[in-house]
Parts: sequence; structure tokens; C-alpha cells
Amino acid sequence: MGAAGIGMLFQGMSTGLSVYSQLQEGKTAMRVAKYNEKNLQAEAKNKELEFMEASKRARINQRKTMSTLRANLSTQGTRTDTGTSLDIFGETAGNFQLAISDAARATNMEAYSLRQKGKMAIFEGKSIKQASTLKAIGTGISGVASAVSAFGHNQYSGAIQ
Amino acid sequence: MIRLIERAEDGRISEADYATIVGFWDGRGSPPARNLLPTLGVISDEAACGFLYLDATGSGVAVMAWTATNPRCSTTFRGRAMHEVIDFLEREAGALGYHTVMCTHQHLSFHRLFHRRGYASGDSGLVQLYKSVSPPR
Repeated sequence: MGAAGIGMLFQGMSTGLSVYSQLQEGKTAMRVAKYNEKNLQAEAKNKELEFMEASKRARINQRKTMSTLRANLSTQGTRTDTGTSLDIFGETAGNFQLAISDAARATNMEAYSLRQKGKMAIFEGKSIKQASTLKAIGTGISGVASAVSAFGHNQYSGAIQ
Repeated sequence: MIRLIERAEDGRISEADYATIVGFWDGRGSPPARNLLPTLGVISDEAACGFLYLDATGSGVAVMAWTATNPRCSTTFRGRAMHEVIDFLEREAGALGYHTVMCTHQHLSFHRLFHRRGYASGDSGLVQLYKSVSPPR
């Protein structure tokens, strides 16, 4: 498709800006912040979903290992509900649970940190937007001031009666 | 995460950010001169950058330019960063009222990337030409 063909598709639609002002720049900064926040939220959610999937697999793996252990001990004629073998059982199950709990804690912290980063991005975006607004107002005021001063100067020099 | 480019006192890209993006052109030809860059530009995780020229005459066309990635980052990381840059600049063009984003690229990898994002190809074999102009005396 040539450039003319591409242009034809968009006839009668919006026409963009006439000037990219400081106010616009502030709004862009806010949109950057919101964009980052949305991405960080999605990343946090992904981490949580990944963990849920991983923990499901870990629990299946735990059940398999425990069954194998139980079967091995049973074939040797060892009782698994008392004494040392019970201790081994308990410890193995405990280690599995500990690993899952550690991973859960790590995931929660990571997701929390990502969400906090998102909130921080919004805060920064707001600050930049406010600074841009103030700068724009400042420019407006100095514009008026220089117009007044120019008027005074022109009046003094006789250009304006 | 993306961020807007920092601006210096003269309104153009800061020296620090300019130095960062110049590094993206290492071994990939000449980087753009500082005074050629538009004021609307973003950098993603110091791994990719892109700029948007905003037409003010009412055509509704914005030009995405100087998209580049940091060759020192891994392919996956810089690819993701580049997607973020393009995605944001497209959204921003839309938010500012533009209906079309146009861009020109020499490298095939960029052609593929932009095609995947729904861009249609126009003419090929284009050459960028520059000339300095000054106000009439």
C-alpha cells in the first residue's frame, strides 16, 4: 500500500495538536506514570499467578515423594506411623511446607514492591504534572509582565500615546 | 518502566540522557544530533528509546523517530523495552489527537517489529536527507 492509500483510510478524523505546551507535557508525564503503574500491577499479578501455579506443582510433587517414601518403607516392612520413620515423614513434609512458605513470602514481597513502585510512579507523575502547570502559569505571568513592561517602554519612548 | 527524557535549560534533551541514547548507536551508524531530537521522547529501562515529532499544522500525523535499543542489553530485555517505548508513543499520539503514526526504518528487525504491531509498509528504499535552514533576512 502506498502512502496515499494509507492516508485515505483516516480522512475526517482528528488532527492533533497546534502546540505541545508545558501543560501538555505535564499531562504526558501523568500518562507515563499511569502506563508504568498499569504494567507494574500486571507484573505483580503475574508473579502471584506464577507462584500459585508453582506451589500447586510443589504440592503434587510433595504428595508423590511422600507416597514413594511410604511405599519404600512399607515394602521393607517398616511401620510408618511410629518411631524414627514417623520423624522422617514429619521432617520431609515439614521441609516441603517450609519451601512453599518461603516462596510465598518472597512472591508477596516482590508483588508488594512492584505495586509500591507503581504507586510511587503515580506520585512522581502528579508532581511533574503540578510542576509543569506551575511553570506554565509562571511563563504566563512573566509573559504578561514583559508585555506590561514593553507597553510602558513604548509609551515612554513615544511609540504609544 | 518508561520515563520521559530529561530536558536541559535550553529545552532540548539533557546532556546525560543524550549521552545515554548516543550509546544505543554504538556500531550502528551515526546517532542523531542533539538539536534534531524532538522534545517528546521516552527511554525504557535505559534499554530502548524513541521520539515523537508532533505535526502542528493539522495533518493529524505524528512521526515516530530515532527508535533504538541498547546493544549492551540482552535481546529479550531490549526487545521488551522497545515494545514499551513504541506502545507508549502510539498511545500518546492517540491521546494528543493524532490519527496516524508514521516511521521510517532501515533495519529489517524493526520492519518486522512494526509489522507485528500492525503497521503497513509504504515506499521502500527511502533516504533521509538534511539541510540547515535559517529565517529570511
